[in-house]
Amino acid sequence: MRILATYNLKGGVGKTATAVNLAWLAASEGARVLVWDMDPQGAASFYFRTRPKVKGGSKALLRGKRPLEDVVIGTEYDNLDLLPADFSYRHMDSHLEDEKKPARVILRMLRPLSEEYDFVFLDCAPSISVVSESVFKVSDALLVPLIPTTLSLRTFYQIIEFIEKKGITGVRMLPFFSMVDRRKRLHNEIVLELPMKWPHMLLTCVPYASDIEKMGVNRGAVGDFARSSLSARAYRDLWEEIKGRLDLT
Amino acid sequence: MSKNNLQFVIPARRPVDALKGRLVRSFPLADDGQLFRRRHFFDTFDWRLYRKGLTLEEEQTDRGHRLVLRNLDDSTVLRWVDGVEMPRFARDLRRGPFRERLVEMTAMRALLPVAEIRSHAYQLRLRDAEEKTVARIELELATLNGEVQARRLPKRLRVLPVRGHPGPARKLLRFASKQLELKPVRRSLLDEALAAYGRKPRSYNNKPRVRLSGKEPAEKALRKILRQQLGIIETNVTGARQYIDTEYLHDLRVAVRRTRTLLGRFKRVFTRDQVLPFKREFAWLGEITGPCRDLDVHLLGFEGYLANLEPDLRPALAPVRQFLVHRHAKEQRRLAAWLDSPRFRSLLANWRRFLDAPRTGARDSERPIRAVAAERIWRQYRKVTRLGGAISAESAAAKLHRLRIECKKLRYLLESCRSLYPKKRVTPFIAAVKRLQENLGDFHDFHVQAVALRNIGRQMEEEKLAGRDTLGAIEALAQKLDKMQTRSRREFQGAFEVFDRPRNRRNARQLFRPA
Repeated sequence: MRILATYNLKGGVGKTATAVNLAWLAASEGARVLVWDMDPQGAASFYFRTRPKVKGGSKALLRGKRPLEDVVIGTEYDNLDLLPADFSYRHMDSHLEDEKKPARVILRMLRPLSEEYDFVFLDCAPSISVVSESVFKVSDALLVPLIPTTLSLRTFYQIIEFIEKKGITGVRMLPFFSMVDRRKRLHNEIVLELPMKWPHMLLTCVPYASDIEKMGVNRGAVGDFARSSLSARAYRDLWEEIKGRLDLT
Repeated sequence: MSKNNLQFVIPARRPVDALKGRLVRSFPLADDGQLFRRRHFFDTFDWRLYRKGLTLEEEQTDRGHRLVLRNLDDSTVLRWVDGVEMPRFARDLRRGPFRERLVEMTAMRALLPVAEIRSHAYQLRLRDAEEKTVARIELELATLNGEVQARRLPKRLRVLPVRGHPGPARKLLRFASKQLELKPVRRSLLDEALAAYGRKPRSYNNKPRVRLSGKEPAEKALRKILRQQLGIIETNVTGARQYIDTEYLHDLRVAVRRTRTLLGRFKRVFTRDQVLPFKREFAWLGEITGPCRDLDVHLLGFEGYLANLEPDLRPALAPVRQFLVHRHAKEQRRLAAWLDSPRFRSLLANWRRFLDAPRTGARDSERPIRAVAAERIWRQYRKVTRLGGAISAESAAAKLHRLRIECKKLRYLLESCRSLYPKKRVTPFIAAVKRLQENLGDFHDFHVQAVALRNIGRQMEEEKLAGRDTLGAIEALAQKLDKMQTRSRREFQGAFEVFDRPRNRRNARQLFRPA
């Protein structure tokens, strides 16, 4: 089971759209996929037409009173399941803080699912906290969508600094540009410049596109309702590139 | 929720439209219209997927094309892959979990079409307040295509639950059973199709499976066992001739070896004169099928060869694969000609005639099979322990080779007569023989492969097909195989000690030693 987290300290950068679309692509290639909507805002749950509600909330999950497999629900797509969000996830941090090794708690929760799923996508909330630190530790890769703007870059450096400070080494950082508007000069400049400074950066750029916004209306993956659109193609390329980096092709 | 009760038969007289109308009136169902589907079912020749309770389908609809792995019983999708056509081998699929799972189950066997069904299904969805699908229903009308004249299969109502929403599916199932008064299906759609074709799934088995009674006269019992082996040979001829996959020839050869062993070990059950020409002809058959099989082994193990080499040497081995493929094609043409020859055809026909003929009246032909089998197995077992016990660290490789052959014969004897003995006791004994045989087999295979690779290298050099890089890679690989052979040689003493431990000896004595 590979754990891939979509994360950024900044909100509204396309984390959820990335998690949902990549999960759909992985499932359409024959993988069994789980998306864990860890953001109390519940955007991924919304895209999958699911009420963001988990009985017992995050406390029951973290304390092992409700195993994750009991909370998993099917989506509109074969082989693609969801662990819905819950508003109580906003307290997940304080619940995890009580634990000596919070990352182990997350791993223990996920372990029973390891036989059942090939990929788990963790759609994280935009914050730096005990939860995100644990996610960094348990994930195989951190997919970081970046809008090519100055503020977005600033948060990216903050994430790197945080990871270095905490001495987290096991996770692959895979940043990529998201919501790229080619009409904007700044976007174009940053898209050219950052990969020079940061050679590990993925080269696929996900465009700023109305198809992605329409995910909220259609409540599904772009590849499903706009198969041949530019954005669907971008996510396909992104997924291929990620698989290549993780030696999955 | 019982997995087998998710599907119901719709009696022929009940129109699907009427049932659909009742469902729509009773539940807030979204109508997804009709889905026209063409489904080709695939499996291996020896039904590896069916045996695991799975179906593999190539599904074409107006929405696209996909390969689907389903549960045989309830049709639930286990894995699917989009936009891909069925390859001949699972290994030819693009990398990913679908491929890995399928390769794991089907290995080197080809994926062959077993049934074709065209259907149109009314698709309905039960949704919740968020408009999320919480259960699906399909009313399917299927028609069988292919070898037989197109014919209708029983109509089905299928409830497809969605994980995390057991309630809605339960309600639909209850409605189908109580209100619509439908009965659960007795067999899967694939079983229905196969029955209509007159095909029996799992009909092929390459293991000796003859049930014997201990009191049966030895000759009668032996004829039964040999007839089954002849059946295996006949069944595999077409696949071996056409090279559908490597296992047809493999199974054919194993059945030939079993036949030869049984003829050799069950002396005096048939008369010598009658059996002699067959022994000679089966030896010939073993010989003519050998070169192709040897090349198959190299080609099947090629990925392993590459894995054993340093990454920078691997590309240099590509001409070797090409050479093997080319040689194989040549040998395959020769084999196909042999399998079409009057000599081969008359061997099978004469052998069948002999097996169906009246008894020969040889000395042991009327003795009970239990006594004769025990006597011959015991003798063979003693031979194996004697030869194995005499092997020391200094013994020549030829001695291990001879032990391997005798061990194989012991296994064939045991497998052919296993129904005479209590399963609980004979199975672990066969497993012990198999383990020893595996060690000896590794030792032999590594040696043969290293020798063969060096020969190939020489031939390629002579024919100017290999450069210095390739010859270097071949030698590096051969040296690796030499090392692996030495390792398995070292492991032999341990493997033999396990085989010859007191528990096994006691088991052999009690099972086979004649009174």
